[in-house]
Amino acid sequence: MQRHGTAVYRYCREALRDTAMAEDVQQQVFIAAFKDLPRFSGRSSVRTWLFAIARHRALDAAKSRRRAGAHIDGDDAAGIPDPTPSPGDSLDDARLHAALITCVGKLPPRVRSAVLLRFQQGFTFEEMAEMSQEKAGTLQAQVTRALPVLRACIESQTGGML
Amino acid sequence: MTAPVDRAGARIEAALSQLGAEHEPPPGWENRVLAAVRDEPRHRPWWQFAAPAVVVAAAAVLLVVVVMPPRPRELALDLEFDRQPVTRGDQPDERRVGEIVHATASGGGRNRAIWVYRNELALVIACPRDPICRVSGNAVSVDVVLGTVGEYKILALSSDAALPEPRGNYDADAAAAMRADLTTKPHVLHVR
Repeated sequence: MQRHGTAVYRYCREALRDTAMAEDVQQQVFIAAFKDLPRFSGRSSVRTWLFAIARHRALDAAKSRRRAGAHIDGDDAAGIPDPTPSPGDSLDDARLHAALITCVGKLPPRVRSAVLLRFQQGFTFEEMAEMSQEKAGTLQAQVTRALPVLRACIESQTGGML
Repeated sequence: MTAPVDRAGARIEAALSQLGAEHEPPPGWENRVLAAVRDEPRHRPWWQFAAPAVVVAAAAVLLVVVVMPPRPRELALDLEFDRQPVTRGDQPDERRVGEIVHATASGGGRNRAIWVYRNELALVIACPRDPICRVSGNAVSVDVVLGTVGEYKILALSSDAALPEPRGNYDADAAAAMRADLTTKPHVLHVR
């Protein structure tokens, strides 16, 4: 639990863009894992199995939120620097980070989930396919198409200074 | 990893890998998970729910098969014939003079009887009283020669109580049996 708890929490937080919901989903993931532990077949690693649950729960939570008509709260924006640079400045890491948070949040939930699992968590496309029951090629295409979208978004946020 | 097409792409991928790195789960989350797991009713596989029902069903079957006494078989009257050569146009209940009918009454209550009447008014045989009757186990049987033309009425009776003696008149005996709440099985043979 300690080994994977923080990673699952970070994934949930960025996937949901809602601190309270991320905390709730992270706990649900581990409660579900404890309950399903006898059924864990060991075909995948514990980490892959945990993230499969996390992905599923986070997508469900995002869907529920959309149905309820709620919008992302402003928690995540607090303390993040304004991504717009002063004229002539190059984009520093802090501003890139701020713009990235905004732009990742604009991706559709499934694509956002794939991008996070690939780059934030470092899963291979094969591992992602195992946890999502989708083809590795499909996931790779999603991620590949998302990168230029992210870049364009960041550049529009930061005035083209990336 | 997906090959970055340029420095900007590499920066994005690097930034993505650090996304949320500054965030930690709330303190005490492990305890809350463990408490939730502990408090939640333990999930039981379906067969654990079914097991008590299976045990109850098995006990019920055992009770019926082993403990409860077997239900007495209903009174039956079986007739077999030493048939004379068949003549065209015979009906199932029409017999020929000289045929022998083997009548057996079985099942029913503790006591059984067979009364055979000819033309309703003559009692031909009364079992088990008459010496030609055979009693074995829970059956009584007799062989009756259909000696004359007419109507033969065979009445099987049964009861846990002692059976009355027939008076020789079919209608009167059948009515008395009905009043005494005896179980009866009648059969009529037309002998030509």
